[in-house]
Amino acid sequence: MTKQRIDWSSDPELAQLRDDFIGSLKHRLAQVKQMQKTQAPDVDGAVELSHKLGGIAETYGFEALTTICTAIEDWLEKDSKPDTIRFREALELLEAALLSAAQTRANSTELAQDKRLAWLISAGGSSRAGSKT
Amino acid sequence: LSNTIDILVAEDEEHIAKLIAFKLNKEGYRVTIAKNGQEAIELLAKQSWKLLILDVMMPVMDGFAVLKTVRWTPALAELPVLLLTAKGKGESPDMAGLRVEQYLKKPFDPAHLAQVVKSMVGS
Repeated sequence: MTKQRIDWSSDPELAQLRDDFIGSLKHRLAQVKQMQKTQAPDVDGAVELSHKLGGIAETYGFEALTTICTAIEDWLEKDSKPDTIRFREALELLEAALLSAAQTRANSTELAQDKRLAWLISAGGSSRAGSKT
Repeated sequence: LSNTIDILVAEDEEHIAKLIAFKLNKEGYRVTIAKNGQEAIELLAKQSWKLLILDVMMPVMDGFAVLKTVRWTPALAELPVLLLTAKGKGESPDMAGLRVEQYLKKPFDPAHLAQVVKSMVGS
């Protein structure tokens, strides 16, 4: 993505759009929590959520969230029957990223250095996770 | 005049659709949003458009189905299309064997999108 920082405070309508997006993260967080409650990994649900969120978050300034979503999506597309423990770890990481974004901490260093993210990126084997086109 | 340039945006994700509309409205374009492929087809039939910005993954009718309909409908066949694809997903226009004038990978920078639109339809 061509880097050109958006000044969200430059226009009230633009600021409202970002507020709306941040507000929507509560709903996404609820989706993650619901997935965490199910016994069998909801792979389709996690792929869809990661795909949708990954395609938006960076545009709204949350690069770490897009990186994590992309890594999860790539991993799940490679492994349609993921290890339950790994799946829960991925959801925990996604939850942490959503909470961080909801607190408008766009690119938390802790998330970028999280060992779960490193594992997801290596397991997904994608060149797109962590790299920007 | 720039404000007479009508652009249809077919995008189910409202936070993306609204941001596109905001940016393009600021540039003087008139933007209408379709929430899925079916709605896009209905709107395409109702009036003439200068550009279709089309997301690939949408409910009801996906972007490739819309693109096929556009290219196979004589009255719409020459409509410029800007396809929005997911980064690295192989959702390239070539997969569908259909012509698109431009495509952008998500997530994208709205300012870059505006530049691409300007290059396609003028301002």
